[in-house]
Amino acid sequence: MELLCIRQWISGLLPTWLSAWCIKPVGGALVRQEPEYILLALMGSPLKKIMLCSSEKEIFSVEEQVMVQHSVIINNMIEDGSYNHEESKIPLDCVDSKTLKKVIDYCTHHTHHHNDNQEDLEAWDAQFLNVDSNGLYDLLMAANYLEIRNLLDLIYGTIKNMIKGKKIDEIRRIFNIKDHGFTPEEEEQNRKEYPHFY
Amino acid sequence: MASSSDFALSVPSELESVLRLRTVDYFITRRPWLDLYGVNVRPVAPFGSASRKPYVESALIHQCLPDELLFEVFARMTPYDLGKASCVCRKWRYTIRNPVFWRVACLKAWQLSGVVENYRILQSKYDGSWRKMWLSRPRLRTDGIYVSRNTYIRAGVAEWKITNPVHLVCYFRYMRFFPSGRFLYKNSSQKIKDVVKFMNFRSSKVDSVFGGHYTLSDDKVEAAVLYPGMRPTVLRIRLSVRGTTPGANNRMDLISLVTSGVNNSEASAPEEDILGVVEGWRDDETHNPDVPAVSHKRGMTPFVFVPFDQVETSVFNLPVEKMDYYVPG
Repeated sequence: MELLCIRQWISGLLPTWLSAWCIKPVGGALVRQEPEYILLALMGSPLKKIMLCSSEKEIFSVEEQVMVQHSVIINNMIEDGSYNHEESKIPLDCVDSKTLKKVIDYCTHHTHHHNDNQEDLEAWDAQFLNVDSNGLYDLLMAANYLEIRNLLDLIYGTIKNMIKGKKIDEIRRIFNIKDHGFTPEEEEQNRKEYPHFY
Repeated sequence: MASSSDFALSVPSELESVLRLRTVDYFITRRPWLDLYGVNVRPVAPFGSASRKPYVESALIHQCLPDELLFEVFARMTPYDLGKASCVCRKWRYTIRNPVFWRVACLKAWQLSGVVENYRILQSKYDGSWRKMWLSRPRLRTDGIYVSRNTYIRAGVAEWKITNPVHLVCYFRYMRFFPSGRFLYKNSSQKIKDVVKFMNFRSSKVDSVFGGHYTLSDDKVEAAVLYPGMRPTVLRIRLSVRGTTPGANNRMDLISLVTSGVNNSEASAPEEDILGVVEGWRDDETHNPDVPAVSHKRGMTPFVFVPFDQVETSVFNLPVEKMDYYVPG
């Protein structure tokens, strides 16, 4: 059968609302998609695994659906067909093993639990981000590289909250900014003009 | 190798980085500064300052995070927090100087003027600097509540040993503004921390929070709010905005406070029209003979701005015994 006929046959199998729009979530957004991929996704490929290779050459095996739903980069890689499931692995030279494991953990949890209620998810997220500063910035850069929208928003929100509502000296302590770089006159001027910040 | 021509086809190695930008495919001109993109540039302290020693970066966030990601953190903060962050260290100050932040803040705060008008004002009054506009142009803050604390002395009932009792009564006018042109007004003796939860559009009449509309031209605010009921009354408020420091916009002086009567057809007009209805009324004008126009002379203390995150700890929560006078300044 020609590809066109196959598409029509597949479209016929899909529920009407799904085939009409052919949308699926990718990295937090909804993207138009060809019907055959939707059907494959519905039928069997959730169990399909892909290999991610960290900068330390450690290989992680993850469900394809999980990563494709969250990471725009990985979704693009798989979609344009440059990834061959049997042999290749996706090299992620910017991400080390510890961080990659954490990222995979986040994506897996959010895929499997996305029907949970908001408070449970938020509590899990808070627990997930209970790491030291080093880990937090590594996560942020990994999420930026892999373009995982919801993890990025989460981490940016956390860092924003470290600044919001705190006094300047507290902020300097939290971020370990020992040398603020202002001359003594500038610092004094700031304190006089904006006493409620200090 | 045609060194004199800019249109060389073979690219010398130092211009490799230039080829990453597609537009440069056409003219291979020398742009060595392009190599600086993506590199963390440490701001250098002014010559002679105490901090001009070899720069040892202690903050992890500056060691790990590229400047673009720091920018993203700041992009999610309110202008108030941005101002605070720019006092933390020199690097943050330089990052926050980026006009993008201030453009977004200005266009949101003065959205009633419209984008075109805002750009026009930017060029004519503020030298094209959004940050200058943010600091110099008067605006009504929407991240908290303006409070006017008024007191008067009331004679009490003489009883027992107290022969000449006198009570200091304290009441507040609360105003909360929204960028859409609406505002909420409440006159009450309740403390701000108890009132703040009612200062929203979900409040019922029982909470005695009234909604109205306002306009801001320059630093002058004209606001009108309707008290519905058997004898509908309109409260016309004229204020002028100022600040204790540039950009603070944390004080409003009461120019006039007039209550007048409105007739029934005006009272039943949809809410948006009340300001339009009373626009142009004289100070002594009233449209309902039962409700004379009264220009109030008492209770005209200037308004002080209290941001939401300072509501719980504000001095305005103190009872009269602890704070009898408050000078707004």
